[in-house]
Amino acid sequence: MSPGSSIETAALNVVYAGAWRVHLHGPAQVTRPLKAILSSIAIPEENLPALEVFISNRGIAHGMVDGTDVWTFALPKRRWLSPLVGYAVGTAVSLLRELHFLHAGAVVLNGRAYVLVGPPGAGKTSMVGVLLRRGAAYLSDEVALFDAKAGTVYPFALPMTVKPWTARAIGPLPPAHLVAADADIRYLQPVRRAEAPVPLDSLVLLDPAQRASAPAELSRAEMLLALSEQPSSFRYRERLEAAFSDFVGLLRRTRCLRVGSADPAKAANMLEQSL
Amino acid sequence: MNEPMLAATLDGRVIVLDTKNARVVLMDALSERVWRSCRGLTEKEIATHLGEAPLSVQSSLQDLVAAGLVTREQDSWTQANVAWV
Repeated sequence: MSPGSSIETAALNVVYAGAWRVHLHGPAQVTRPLKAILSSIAIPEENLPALEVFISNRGIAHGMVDGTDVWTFALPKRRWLSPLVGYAVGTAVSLLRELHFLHAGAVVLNGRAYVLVGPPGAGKTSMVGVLLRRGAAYLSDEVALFDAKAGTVYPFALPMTVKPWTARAIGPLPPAHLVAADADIRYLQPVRRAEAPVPLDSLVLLDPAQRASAPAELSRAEMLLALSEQPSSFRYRERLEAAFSDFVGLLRRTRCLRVGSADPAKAANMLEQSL
Repeated sequence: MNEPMLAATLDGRVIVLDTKNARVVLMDALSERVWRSCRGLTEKEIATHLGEAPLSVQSSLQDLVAAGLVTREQDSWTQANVAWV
């Protein structure tokens, strides 16, 4: 379905992503799947300013917060949902005041959170998928939300973005509900999910250039450097100092590991076996 | 007076927030030793004190200047004001 077609009439939708409100204006064939995905997300911070999303019949997407333009872009003809979700989620994390965020996958094993950090293509979603299939509970495959002082990770619950190559890497998918689909990308909400903040156990840096191997200890200083290079609270100047202080405090209480993730399924198995 | 830069020691390594350039700087072993020696010494005195080649010290000082971690007054090097986390 092309977002530019105007078969359905424009509609106004209000969606709550946890405590965060988003107003959607535009053709229902665009707003319906976006609403389904955003309503799955759990943003716990109260009183964040709402996002207004406008989608024109020509497929131009526009976001506003407090009457200020925050983004505008033309939806691609294919796989248009992914950038739309990305901009909305990016806006959400940019508004956080208390919690810190990190572009990362996160699962719960034995009641403790394991956060998988790495560049795009490092295998975060694939490893999350494999670990879920083996009994882990879902926190996120894209955004880890931290309460640094409490040392916990919140369930962000953005549905897993499963691309064809991710599905091949995962193998049989974990039990999940289909929330939305766009071309060959499926947005799946895993059945087994964390419902409350979980104590952080380990940060795991994925290295896609290395073959899967047993997890090795990584210095916390190197991990902090790696975190600062990911999309995270470090991206916002007004939060830089808080991000530095809070992540330092969090790291002092956290185990840091490095795992070769050229084969994400093998890496997930080796990580699980090492715990 | 400039606001102090935030710094921390994690697993024995010094890591600093370079607010001006919005980045985190992880010092290598030599840069950390050079930085710790920047207490009014000249470049030559630092090299002698550490027993390091002057060119290596000069290179480290250039990196430290770029990160805003040291300043030079006349020929003496001084650490920037740092607040430890």
